[in-house]
Amino acid sequence: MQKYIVRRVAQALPTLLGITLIVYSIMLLAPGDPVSLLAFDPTIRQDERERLANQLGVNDPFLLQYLRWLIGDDWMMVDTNFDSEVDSWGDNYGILRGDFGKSFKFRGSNPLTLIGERLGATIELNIAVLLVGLSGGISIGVLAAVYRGRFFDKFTRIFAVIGDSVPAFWLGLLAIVFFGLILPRLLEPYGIGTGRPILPMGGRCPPVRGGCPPLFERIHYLILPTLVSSLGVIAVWSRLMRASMLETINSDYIRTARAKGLSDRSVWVKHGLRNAILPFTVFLGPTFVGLIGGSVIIERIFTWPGVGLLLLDGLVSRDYPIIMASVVIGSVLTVIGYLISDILYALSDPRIRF
Amino acid sequence: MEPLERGVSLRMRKSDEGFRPSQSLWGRAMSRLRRDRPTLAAMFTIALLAVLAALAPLIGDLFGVDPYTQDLRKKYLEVGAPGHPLGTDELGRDHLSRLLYGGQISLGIAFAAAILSLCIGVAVGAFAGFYGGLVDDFILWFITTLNSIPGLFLLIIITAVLSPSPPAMVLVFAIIGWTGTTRLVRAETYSLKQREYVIAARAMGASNLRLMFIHIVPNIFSLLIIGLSQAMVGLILAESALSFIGFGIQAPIPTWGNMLNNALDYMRRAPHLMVLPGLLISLTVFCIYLIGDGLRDAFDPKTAD
Repeated sequence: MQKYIVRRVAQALPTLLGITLIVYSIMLLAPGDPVSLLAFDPTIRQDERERLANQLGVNDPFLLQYLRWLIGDDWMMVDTNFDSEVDSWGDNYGILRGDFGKSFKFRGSNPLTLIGERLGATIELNIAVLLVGLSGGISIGVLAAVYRGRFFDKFTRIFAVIGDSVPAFWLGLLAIVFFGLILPRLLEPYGIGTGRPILPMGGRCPPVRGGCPPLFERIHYLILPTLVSSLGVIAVWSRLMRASMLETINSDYIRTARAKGLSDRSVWVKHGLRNAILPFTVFLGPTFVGLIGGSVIIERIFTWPGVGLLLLDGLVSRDYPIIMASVVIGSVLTVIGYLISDILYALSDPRIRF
Repeated sequence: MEPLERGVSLRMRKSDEGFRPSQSLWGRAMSRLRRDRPTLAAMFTIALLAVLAALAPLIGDLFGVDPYTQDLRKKYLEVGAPGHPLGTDELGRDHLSRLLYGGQISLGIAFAAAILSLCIGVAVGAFAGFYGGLVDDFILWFITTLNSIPGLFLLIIITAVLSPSPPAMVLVFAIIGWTGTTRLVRAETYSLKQREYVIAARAMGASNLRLMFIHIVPNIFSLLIIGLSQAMVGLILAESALSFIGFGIQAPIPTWGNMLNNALDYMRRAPHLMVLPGLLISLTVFCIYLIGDGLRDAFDPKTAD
């Protein structure tokens, strides 16, 4: 088992390298060179521009530029005064040591610090979505399998297909209109509420000085984004669990368990569910990955101050260090997600031997 | 599915006991589809949407509207307003016309990108599965890497670099979207190339290219059709999501996604601007989803008739 884990981690390394290569290549094609972005001031002389270009290494061959970005240039001498001779040490540590350069928009901040400040919000939302989505999806799927062919089963299957077709961004808008406009207006005549939105329509906490209050005081901010985002998860997982449960329940050992005279409840829960839960480990990774990508959208709708929103801000202001850092961090999280999912799968299924 | 030469097919004579007309995979799939009402209805709806989108200029002429003419005296008209059956937007542009032209772009991009990525996926997958070894390792590494960058992130940074015109978007989606098909084709090619009929063809002197694209790929065609419908679902959702966050096709060209993005600011004044594009996206995805399910059942040899 340990051997498998080591091998699986080792496999992730070339993937991570490839990710940085792809991201760097794409960003190199971006319009507007860093020199004109940094030296926007027209009074800067041409020779100073050239010196800056040399310092930034924009005239170097691609591979050298990529290496400097990846592992930094403090180990090599660079030419700073454009006399074709190297004369001082570089001051860039490279992304492997956490140096993604300096943010253009947030003057000089380290992109990783900015992401670190936002990561908490993204993780908070996604944990809530996972909790609601998985518990909802699994219980609906199991119940649908137990009541196969009955009304509950048919109803939830239609719901699952619809839940899969409705994009989260539209659902989010509908939710905002419903909870923010329609529902308060409907409830007002009955003396419930004041015609103002019942739930907060966006944001993570009330605008107060000095950070957010503790989670239990602002949980109502989580309700709408979590509901909207978890609907897709519920739809996928209810179908998965239903199929998996039906497959398990038709197998021989279940018949044996029934023949022994075990109660229905014991058969379904102890024999059925325990085995049917296996795909849980396989699909946990993809679900997690889907949430990372989807966080951009859900954060945009509900102005949730997470990494997705930071990435969008970075794109609008062409803040390349922020963009690259967010994409690389998002990809690293994805790789880790797949890794954990694979290892969990290997751990949970005793039939897999290494 | 091993193809028998026509001359030697084991067709029984009508007088034989237990006669059943022999049916090809495709013939059986078609006869199943003809009886599958939900799938037929979904196909009809998609066809209708496509035809309406294609006829957008004609329909525009019928009502005397086009998607770009602004009329600031007729802003935020409701559904059913005279001259504008589905109302107008914040600049007084006709909503019906914009929805139809948006459909042209959204459906067109999804369809073109699905076909293109299918072609790339089949070619790369066939090569990887057929040759194996280093070629296969490299392609697998590339696919894993590409799939490890969250899809939307990758799309966003590419469109931030390219200026997203519709043809560029097709290219971008195809470049990103081929990996699923490649995996499928690679696995199938790997198993099919060891079948006797492929070995026989090789013994008769068929070239590798001929083996791949004449003997192997046609045998996984049914899988590819199912894959195509799944790809379409993903592409329509991705395109509209990208346009929705403002990085897809740019205004004034309408797409369902950027119309939704636009409607975000006018939700209170004109909710219909938000409801209709989203409804069309959901309807399209729902129908293609049903078609994919129907096709899978129709081609599945395990389903009983």
